[in-house]
Amino acid sequence: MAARPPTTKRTTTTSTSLPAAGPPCTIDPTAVIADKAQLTGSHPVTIAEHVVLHPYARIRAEGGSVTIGPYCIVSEGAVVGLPEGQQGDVVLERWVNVESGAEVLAKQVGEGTEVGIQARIWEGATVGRFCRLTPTEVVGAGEEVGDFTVVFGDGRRRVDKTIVESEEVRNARVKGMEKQVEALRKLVPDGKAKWIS
Amino acid sequence: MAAPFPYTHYACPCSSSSGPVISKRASQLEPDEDQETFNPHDPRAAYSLYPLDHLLFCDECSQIRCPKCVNDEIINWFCPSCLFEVPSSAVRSENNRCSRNCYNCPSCSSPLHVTQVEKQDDGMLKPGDGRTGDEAYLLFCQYCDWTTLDIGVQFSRPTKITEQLNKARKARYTVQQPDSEDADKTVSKQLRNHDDAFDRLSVFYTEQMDETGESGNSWGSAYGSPANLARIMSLYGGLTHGALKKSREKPQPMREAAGEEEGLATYSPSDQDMDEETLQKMQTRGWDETASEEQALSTPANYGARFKDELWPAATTLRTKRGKRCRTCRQFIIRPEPKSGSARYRIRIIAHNNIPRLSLRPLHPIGPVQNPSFVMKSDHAYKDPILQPLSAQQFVLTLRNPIFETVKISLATPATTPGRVASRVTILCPSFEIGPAGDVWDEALSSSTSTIRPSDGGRSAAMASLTGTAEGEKQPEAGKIWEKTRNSTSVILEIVPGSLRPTSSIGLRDDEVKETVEEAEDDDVLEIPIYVRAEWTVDVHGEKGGEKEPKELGYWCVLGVGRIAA
Ligand SMILES: [Zn+2]
Ligand SMILES: [Zn+2]
Ligand SMILES: [Zn+2]
Ligand SMILES: [Zn+2]
Repeated sequence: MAARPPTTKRTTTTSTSLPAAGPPCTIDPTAVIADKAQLTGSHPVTIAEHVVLHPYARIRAEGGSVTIGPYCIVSEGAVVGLPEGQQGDVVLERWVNVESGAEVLAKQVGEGTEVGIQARIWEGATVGRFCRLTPTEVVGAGEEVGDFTVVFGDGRRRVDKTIVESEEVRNARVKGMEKQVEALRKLVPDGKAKWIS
Repeated sequence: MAAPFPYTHYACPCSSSSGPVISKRASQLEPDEDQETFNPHDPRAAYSLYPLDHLLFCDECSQIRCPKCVNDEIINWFCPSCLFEVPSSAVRSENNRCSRNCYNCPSCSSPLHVTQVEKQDDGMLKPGDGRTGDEAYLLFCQYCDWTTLDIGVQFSRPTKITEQLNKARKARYTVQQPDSEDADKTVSKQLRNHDDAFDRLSVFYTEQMDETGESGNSWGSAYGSPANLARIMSLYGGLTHGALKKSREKPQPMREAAGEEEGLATYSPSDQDMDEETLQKMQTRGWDETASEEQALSTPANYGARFKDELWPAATTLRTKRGKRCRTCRQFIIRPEPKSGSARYRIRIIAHNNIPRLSLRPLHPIGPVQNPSFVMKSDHAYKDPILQPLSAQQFVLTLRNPIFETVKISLATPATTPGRVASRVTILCPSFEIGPAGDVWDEALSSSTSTIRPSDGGRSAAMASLTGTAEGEKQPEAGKIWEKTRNSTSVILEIVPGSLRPTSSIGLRDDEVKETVEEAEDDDVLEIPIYVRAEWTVDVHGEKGGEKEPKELGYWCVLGVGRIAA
């Protein structure tokens, strides 16, 4: 649980012209990958339909493959995937929102989960469906966070009963995600061409 | 001392041993005559020394006022969430809480928002869901996602939340059949509800008051009436004979609440089942589902709550705007504007604008001047300046005048600092004048010229070493002012730090020396007490050239110079 120093330094320089530098990618044509987004490492990266990667978002397939499900958003400065030296795959299910500066090294993040600004999920952890990590919260290595959990206030957790019981609320959240993706599609210019070889 | 060297702390006269009587004629005091030298190493000194920015000033008494010698007075009450100003008469009846739509999350205490629940119209809703397209509203926490659905409450309108919430609560906690054989249990269940118990008690005691002829007709004034006061006083003794007799003549003393109907909840064996139930629940649900003490105390409605799903939203507590009055003359020193949206002050007399500020710097600084606020890296951490014992060092003491009159200053300091380590201190020029403060523009212009002055220690030294001439370098001279700008004057202070080790201890073994150092923590801090007396004249009726009235102000301050090397 204890915060650890980030294992890698975030680099802001991107190669704009070399398609060969990236990992082997499978990118759905409906996904939006900003020009300044980074895909690094040598393990396979799968990006499903309607995914949005913001500028300076980083998919780090250095320690294992990264799979990003439909309608996921990865914001600026956020990192998904394990760094060099650690091994394991990372899977984001659909409708996962990774906010700015967050770092997701988790084995799996369930659908509809929101990872708040600068929140961290360390390697080997699993996060359930429709969870929410409020900004700067941390889920430690190997931890398991059950479905519908809200992690807030320095590690406090509660099960969001509203969302457990109400399908409406869940649907509202999913709909919100999809609307957000639609809006971002107009705002973020797509640069995925360079990652498809 | 937590402040970085060199610092200046100002002593408030209120905590001097001579008491507030002396403070009135502080102007006549000679520090070395009838007032003891301020000892910064005295354990009590820490309670009277403040940085200048923490101090206020009473212009009526012409004295510094610290947080201890002002009285707070509540100007008004307002809700921090809707900024509605609550009249003081309503504050009590509204339990110091906002009675409009402001609520805080019972789970994490951040403000709740009213949101509309969107009914799905695109077929995602389960078929057969009988509810029509009426809109429903919730209180929703944007931080931890708590909603009133957690306690099973929805609202039909986005307004009058308090009313709807109370209704929902009543529906939950009032048991339907009060005439059944379980009536006793119903009452005791109702008493768990804090508000209900309070209401019953309140009704009972009001009746008691009426019966016994006490004139108090409401809780608020129960102790206000002379009869009640007399009765209470008699309980604690210490009354005149007549009053005592009168109180004994009272035919019937007031009864206390005795049963559940009267609001007294007692433990009965039948409660045990309920306790068992609670224990069982705790066991199965675990710690995470149990309400914390903080959550249970968030609002009276939650006082009996054991589990998180029993927590009700807490109405936002009101905030106050407070003014500060001088304790001696009752004048307002700080008075904020009563409007709750405004952050302005009507009256704000702070010491910063009324007494000369003292600042100290070495005459020949070694290395660049460090400001701990600007230290970026840990390896450049701020280190306390170290003073070599028994070698004379010169410092520039600058006094800056914040008032619009020329001020005559006399400084006094004991020849040797009080405390275990005696350092010798000499002010080369103890009395001088400081020019008046002007407007900001003037000040900016004059200070920009003053920085070019060749007398700036480091710069002139550098110049001298470059040109190879010592020409233009000033020498500190007794009786002479070192530097003068429009509203500030600098003089030279000569300090010979005392030695930490008494001469006899030189032959001691290392551990013994350590011991003596340890028992005298912070004795190595060189602090110089200085008594500042300022005299000036003001125009009596605010017109120039008219009658002049002399004004005087005296105060102690303490200059923290650095640590003496061991
Ligand atoms: Zn005081
Ligand atoms: Zn309010
Ligand atoms: Zn909350
Ligand atoms: Zn006063």
